[in-house]
Amino acid sequence: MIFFSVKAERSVRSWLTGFFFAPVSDSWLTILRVGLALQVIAYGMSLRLDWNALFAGFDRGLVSRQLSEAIITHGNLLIPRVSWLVDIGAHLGLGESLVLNLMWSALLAGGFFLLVGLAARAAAILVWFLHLCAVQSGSLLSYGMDDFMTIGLFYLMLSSLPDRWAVDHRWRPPGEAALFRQCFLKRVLQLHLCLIYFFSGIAKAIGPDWWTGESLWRALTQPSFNQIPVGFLAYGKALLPLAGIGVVVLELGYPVVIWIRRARSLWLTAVCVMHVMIGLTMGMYLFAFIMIVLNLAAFARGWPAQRTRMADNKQPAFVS
Amino acid sequence: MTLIGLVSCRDVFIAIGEGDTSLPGGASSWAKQVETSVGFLVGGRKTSASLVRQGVETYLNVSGIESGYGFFAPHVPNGYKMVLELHYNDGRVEYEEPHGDAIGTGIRMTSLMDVIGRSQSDEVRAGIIRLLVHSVWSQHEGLENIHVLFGTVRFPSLRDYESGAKYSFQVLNTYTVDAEATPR
Repeated sequence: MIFFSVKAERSVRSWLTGFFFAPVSDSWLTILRVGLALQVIAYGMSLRLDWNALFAGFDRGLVSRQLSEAIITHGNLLIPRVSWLVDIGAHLGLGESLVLNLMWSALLAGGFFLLVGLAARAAAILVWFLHLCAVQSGSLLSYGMDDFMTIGLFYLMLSSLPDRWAVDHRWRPPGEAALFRQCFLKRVLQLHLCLIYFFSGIAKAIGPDWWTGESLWRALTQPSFNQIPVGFLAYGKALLPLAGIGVVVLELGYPVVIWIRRARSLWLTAVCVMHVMIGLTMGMYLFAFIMIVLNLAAFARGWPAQRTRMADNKQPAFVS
Repeated sequence: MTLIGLVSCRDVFIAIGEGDTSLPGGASSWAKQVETSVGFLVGGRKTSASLVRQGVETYLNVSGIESGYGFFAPHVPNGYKMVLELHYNDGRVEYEEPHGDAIGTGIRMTSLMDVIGRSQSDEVRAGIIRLLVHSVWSQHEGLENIHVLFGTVRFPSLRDYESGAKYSFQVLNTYTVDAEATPR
């Protein structure tokens, strides 16, 4: 009995070690870095005209930055916020408006550095911090996309940059230990996505409206989201229940099917198509893009060229 | 992973607790109790008493996992809308909705309207509206006052739409802000 339990413990431990710490291709990191860089640049550009109004203080902003910060932090002094930067700027004799402009410029510059992979680790930390400040100080105006950007940037910041396609890699390749950390972070990202879709699916499945297509109808006809003429939607009403059920099945099935090697590509493609449709039909382009980036980083196959090169170096087989 | 699971569970229990699901009625009160316990663990009670709790809250925020993933679930709620009636000194009246100039601000204004609409506190709602009105005020010359209409936007169900129903705006709150009440 003891022999069997020791054997079982060993096999579980060996499986967990293999699952979390086997060397993996760094292609997922390339996808995450480039995808998030494009996302950060698009995020910055999409808010340029209102940046100062969004994060200005009392009497100068759309709604006050301090009000957002008070609501989100409720007394917690550790959560990063724009006011930290404005206060530092004030000590240096810089006005609020100049600090906000510098913040926007640094965010965009960080995005470009990430894109080419120059000082990639520092750029990832900078962009994560600045974006986090913006999200916390603009919490009254934030939406789901901001959370997913924070999640992606958090993983990117912790990852073992640079990946092999980054400019940095030429003169500062990551050590062997980094390869094992990559696998761990990729696994955590994969499990995180599984939880996201599972709970999103559960929350939809417990209501009646996603099964009848009514929720999809309401989502697509909301005045703030509707990109498709309502008459056209009503014409295709027979498809709404199918599409609604499809969304629930895709999300609930994700944590199981995505691990089945043969079905993974199909499920991943279907989920990406779902996000493309959300982007096109509801105008939530940045939300769609970040979800596709996270999915591809977590579950897309590595580049064939990298597999060959790693195999030449006699690295252990890939786990994806 | 545990924290992600707890935060996500809390959101599902909140949805069940609100009673807008297909689950039996008894599930609602049970879910409220569970949500209270889970909320306590992940700082949902809005208290930052101890360093440990502050640490947990900080980690949730910096890693982007402080909220769950029940988007548009279990059903899609009504939207909210704000209409500003701008009264000028010369007697003119113009109508406007709060908006930004950047392409990415539109969807954020929708989020802001949801925050205002779902706020349980009249004072918070009035306070945010006053700040928004002030930003609009500063962009217009010669205003006497701004009359604010805030309410829900209801779009008809598919069946109602086919029988000719149109979308409606139901006013929930009205406010009037004049020059003296506007912060300068």
